[in-house]
Amino acid sequence: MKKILLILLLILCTGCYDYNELNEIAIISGVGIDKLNNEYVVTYEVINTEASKESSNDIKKYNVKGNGGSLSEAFNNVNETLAKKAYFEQIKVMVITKNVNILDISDYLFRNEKINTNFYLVLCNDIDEIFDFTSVNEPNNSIAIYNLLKQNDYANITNLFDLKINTLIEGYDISLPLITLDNELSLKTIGIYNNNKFIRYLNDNEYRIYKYLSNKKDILINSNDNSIKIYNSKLNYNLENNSITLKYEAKAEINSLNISYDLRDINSYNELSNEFTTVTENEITNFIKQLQIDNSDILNILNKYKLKYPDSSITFKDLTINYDINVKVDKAGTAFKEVK
Amino acid sequence: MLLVDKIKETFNNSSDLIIKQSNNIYIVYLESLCSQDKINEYILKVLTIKNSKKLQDNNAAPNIKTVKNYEETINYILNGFTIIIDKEVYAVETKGDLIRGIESPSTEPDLTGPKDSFNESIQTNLGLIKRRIKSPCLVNKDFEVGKYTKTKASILYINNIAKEETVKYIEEKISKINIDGITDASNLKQLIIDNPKTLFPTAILTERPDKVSQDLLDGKIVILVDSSPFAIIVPAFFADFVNPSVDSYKKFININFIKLIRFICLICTLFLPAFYVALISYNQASIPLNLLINFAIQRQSVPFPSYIEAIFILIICAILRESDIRFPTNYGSSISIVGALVMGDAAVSAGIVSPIMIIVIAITYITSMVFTDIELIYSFRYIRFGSIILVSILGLYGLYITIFLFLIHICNLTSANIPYTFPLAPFDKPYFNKVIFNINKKEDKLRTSALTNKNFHKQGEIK
Repeated sequence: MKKILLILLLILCTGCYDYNELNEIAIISGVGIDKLNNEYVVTYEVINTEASKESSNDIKKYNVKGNGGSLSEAFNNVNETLAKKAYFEQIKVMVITKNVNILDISDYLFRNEKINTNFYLVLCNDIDEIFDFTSVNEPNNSIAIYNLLKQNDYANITNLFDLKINTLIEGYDISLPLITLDNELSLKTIGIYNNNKFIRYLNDNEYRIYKYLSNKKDILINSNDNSIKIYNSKLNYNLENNSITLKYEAKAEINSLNISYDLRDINSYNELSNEFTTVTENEITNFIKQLQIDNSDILNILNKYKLKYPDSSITFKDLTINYDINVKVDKAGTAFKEVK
Repeated sequence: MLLVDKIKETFNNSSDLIIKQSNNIYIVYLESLCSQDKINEYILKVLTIKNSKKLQDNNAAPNIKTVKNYEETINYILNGFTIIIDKEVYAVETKGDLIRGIESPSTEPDLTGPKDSFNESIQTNLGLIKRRIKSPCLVNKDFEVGKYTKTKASILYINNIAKEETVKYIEEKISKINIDGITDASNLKQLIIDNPKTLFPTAILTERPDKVSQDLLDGKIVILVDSSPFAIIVPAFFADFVNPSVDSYKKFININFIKLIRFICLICTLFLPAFYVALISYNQASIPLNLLINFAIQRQSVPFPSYIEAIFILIICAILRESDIRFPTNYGSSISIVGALVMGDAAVSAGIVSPIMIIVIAITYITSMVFTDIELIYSFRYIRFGSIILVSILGLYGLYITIFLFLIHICNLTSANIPYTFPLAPFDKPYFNKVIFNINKKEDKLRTSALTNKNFHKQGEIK
């Protein structure tokens, strides 16, 4: 009898602490954080569960906004305007502006046990513009942004908020995707950081180079009206004699050829390979040099160097990087022999 | 006092007790148990033959015995014999056919395999088994259970396969029974099982003679009870209830997939409602967002917490199931229609339950129909309700507690002194391959050592 009583007491006194009935919670799919005039502005994108699934006229989501001197004050203010209990476990993305100090928000979010930090952090220029937009395809913008990231291969585990913050805490630099509104939500470039400080957005060309250095496929490289498409690539670092060598090997297929090459001749491929190796080497060298000027190590080169030489006090800016670039064009791809 | 008068007195002048006299020979029988034709054929015709030396010699009855004492006389009368009182007392078997014919199994149907099933006559049932196992090694020992019912029970085993300890253990259990009466094998089952307080069945009740024969060949012990169309098989393990023996009639590759499905069904029928309640009311983070939105939209109009909703429909389902079993089959369809209407459309449109909950409970009930043992299904019901109650307080953690309690409980059970979780814990390859994961019939050569200690090979030459 005592045993049963003890078990009952244990269960009844410890139970129900995180009980939330599904219709009593406001499911938040995305959070926006902006900092204006030393005040935090927090926006929630809340899913409207009262909407009928069939009716397309029903509003599928609504935004709630609040501000405060500190982040917790701003969050509390928004929570008060909600009719239901705010539920943060399903946040897909957090949208911030470049004014926001990422470590500040992480401090608040990690200490709050009710906020799940497995979401993606993205940049935008105007949070209201992003959240007020309603797409025809996906009424929920957070899900739309998540899908966009997924399609651009950005929604992988290394880009989760937790891991980004970890990178920052360890003293390394991060990059965040920039979401812009161009009729539809789109991802055009990324913003680079020097540790916690926003530096700038990459231009289109830099973003393209960044993409192929991140081992993404189907990236085009142009030279003299010829263009190739990378279908397989590998980025390695060789660490010897206190120096680091960036080794980039790529296999590519021809995308378009304007100068007449005989694709039956193996030498044509060699010529093309040499040409594109030079072009790629220039591109990569210039890109990394620019990153060194910006002092933003988004490719984690210094990290790799310090793994081998942990006592070195060298900074990314002063690091001498050697390049070993090899692009091999070995498939005809969409280019065919000219019809005479 | 004449024997006839004594019998009359013993039976309190019962109206079906017939006493006839001819040439100073009395015949006594119970009209309700005997066949009039047999009495005419075997007794009355013989009595008319004069100068018969000995009644026993001229009688064509297949079963005629000399009675030694008064108790035996009464016993024979009660068993459908006719007593002939001359200078000696004889008992002639004139039992009437109070049984139905051999029909196809109604509770354990299967597409392939034999289509005969036991009926209420222990002799017929014994015959059905002996037809399959034509060996003098198949031993049957008779017992009488019940002070008033005097029900005949028969223990069957193959004496050079079954373990003697197990046979003795069962015999001891039966001989210790001191009860007014049993009316069915399930009564006896409850009296001989190891853990009477457990939810789970620890002895199999079957109506399939082929299943009984298979289990006898494995070294199990079978108990037949007169006037019951079910045989008791001991020992029985949890895996036996999940996987029926008819699996052995099918190709092993195909049946293994079904066994996997059955395992999924087992998990679903036990824990699906609790898992759903845990996700909906505690661990919403585990549901993909798009699905969660659907759930939230559908649950919007439901005023009750999800665990109340689940318990409510589970109770309605339990009532429906019970009424379906109790109600005559002719009216059965109307019950199903009312049930479907109440459960489905009306409850959802009235906003009492959400459509997702209906789907969850429907899956729970459909998956439970994979299992045929009614006691097993009843025991699942407890786990289902128990897990929902724990989950309503502790969320997914409550579900894990239920799973562990369930595992601890079944690990604690035994059937005829063998662990109930056999052949998984302790692991036993031959029985595992027989019940849980079938192997090619050609390679299935060994018998489990848990059930036999003398004859391990069931196929091929002993090396």
